[in-house]
Amino acid sequence: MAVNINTVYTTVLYILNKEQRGYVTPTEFNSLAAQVQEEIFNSYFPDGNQLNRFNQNNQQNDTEFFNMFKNQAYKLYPFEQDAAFILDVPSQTFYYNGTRTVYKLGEIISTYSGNPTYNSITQLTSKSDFSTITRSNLTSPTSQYPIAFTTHAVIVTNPVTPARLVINISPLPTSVSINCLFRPVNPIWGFTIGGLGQYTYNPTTSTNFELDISEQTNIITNILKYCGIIIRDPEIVQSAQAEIQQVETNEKS
Amino acid sequence: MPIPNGGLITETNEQYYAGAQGFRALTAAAGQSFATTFNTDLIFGSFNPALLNYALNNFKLYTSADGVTYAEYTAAYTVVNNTVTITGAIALGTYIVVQLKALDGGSYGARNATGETVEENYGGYSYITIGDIIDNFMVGYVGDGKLIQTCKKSDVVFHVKRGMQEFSYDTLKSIKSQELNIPPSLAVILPQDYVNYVRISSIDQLGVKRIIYPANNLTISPYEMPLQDNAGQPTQDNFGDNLEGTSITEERWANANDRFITGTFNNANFEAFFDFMQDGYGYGLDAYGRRYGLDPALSQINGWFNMNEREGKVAFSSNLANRLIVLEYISDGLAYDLDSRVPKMAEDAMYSHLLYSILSTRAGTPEGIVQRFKRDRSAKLRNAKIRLSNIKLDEIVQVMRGKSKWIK
Repeated sequence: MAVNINTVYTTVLYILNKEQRGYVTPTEFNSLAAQVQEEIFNSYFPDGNQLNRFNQNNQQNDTEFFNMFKNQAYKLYPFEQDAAFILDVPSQTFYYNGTRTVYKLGEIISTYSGNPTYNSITQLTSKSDFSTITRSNLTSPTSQYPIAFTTHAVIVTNPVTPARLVINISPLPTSVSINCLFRPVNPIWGFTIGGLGQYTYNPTTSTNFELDISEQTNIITNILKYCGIIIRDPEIVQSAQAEIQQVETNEKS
Repeated sequence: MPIPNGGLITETNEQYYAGAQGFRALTAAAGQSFATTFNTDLIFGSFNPALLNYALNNFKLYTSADGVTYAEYTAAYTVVNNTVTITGAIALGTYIVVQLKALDGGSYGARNATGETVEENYGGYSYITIGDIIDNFMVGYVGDGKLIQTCKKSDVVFHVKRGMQEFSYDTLKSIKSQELNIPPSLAVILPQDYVNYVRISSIDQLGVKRIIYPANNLTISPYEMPLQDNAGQPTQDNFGDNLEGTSITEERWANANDRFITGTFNNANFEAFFDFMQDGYGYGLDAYGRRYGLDPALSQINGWFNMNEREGKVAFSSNLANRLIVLEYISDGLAYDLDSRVPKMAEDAMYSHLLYSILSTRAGTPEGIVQRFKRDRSAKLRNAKIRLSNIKLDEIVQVMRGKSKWIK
């Protein structure tokens, strides 16, 4: 479940205004919200890597709700989606034609129609590995063991699009489905201006945080950290940073 | 029990034994699909018997209105992913049977679904495919908290195929055989997937096989026969390559009388010699019928073969012309990707081989671990060999019963 942006904004304002410390306008807030969401999203990967070491050493707490690695991986679910990639016939590559921005490619399933139809897990390699693997007659890709590499190219199918991520798969499948991680959509606190010039929350023009609901506190403290900088209040920055530090220490130790 | 219920058997008894799977049309609509679940993939060339590709089909489709009298369905249909889709409409309740081709032609229609598709699947449960080995290995041995944290699938594919090759040479029951007639040229072409021979035998009138021995020290098929000039220098053609002639060694071997080698008793020669002796040369008569200085290794009448590497053929001695032979040989198990199967008796040995191969080629693996898996692989390979040797107590007992036979 996503984090409601109005809840975050009102909480931030409440904390800031508690002692008449200052005010953050919706425009400033929206910029901070986007920045914080991006920061938290990007922190999942190094954190996940760190927490996976417990798995590798067989030290992970695997009781139902306390597997920290799984909890961390779970937070990515709002950004994870199976996406169909489209074949660009002239270049024989596949590309994503949706509205979102692909952040990372996960499992690639290549489908080869025929008798039988194969839905094969595709190994994503570097270009140099691709060249090496295809040259060995024992490992050369087949419809059961296809391999792929990514590159940046212009799609020449009409309409011609700017250069983008494309994926080369060998042998060429009939269709491709990739478990993608998409970049978060920027949150927006939408508003209308009331008769007294006040900002009134407008849910129809707003976009909530895509982060999981468990990140609400984290979002608020991070935004407060930046608000403290904006309103030049070191006390807010320090207390927000202390709070963030404590959460991090708890999670990773 | 006949219905697959989540175990490793995925075919019904009917699918396995009869090679048939039945369906019923639940509507009268056009475009109805019937998904087959044979272990064997359907091969579809054409629905139309008048077309050439129809012969590619490894099955026939039959329909029946009453479930008793079936006729082959030759109207339009397609097959994708082993699902048969009938293009036109068929009557509600129609019985539909997909019959794989069998040696006896199957049990439906004119019983003319003749082929070997059903028989090729018999006994398939004793094998596991290379694809399953790879998937099982990735699940069971690769991942967090295991010795192999990560591993590229292409590495596993490489090692499993190499393992398959090595196992094929001396562990697996992968001996193939071809029944051939020896032509007047006295040479037969090596099979397409030949790696090495196991045994070559001629088959006598009783069907008993008689081992043909290699002509190791007797003759040879030379690899090059350069044409020489009077000075003994090889001569060249306009492109600078040596001119090649035909092999005189092979020619002489093809015309050789093997009795001169085997020392086989020849009645005509004996009579002539006897007459010669009767004419007054009395000495030597006591040598009749005796064989002095025979080499037991050569004293056999089954014949010889030698490998003609130049032409990729097996050449035979002249006494085997027009004889029926069976060539037993080993392949490496990889000739046809889909055919690559490992006997279940050697499945564990294959996992151990993969573990050892991957760990031993990985930087930073402690040597103790490598040695552990080396021993593990060796022990499991030995087990697999013993298992596949098919040593049965009853058979040993039967052989040992011969110990009580009196030998003069």
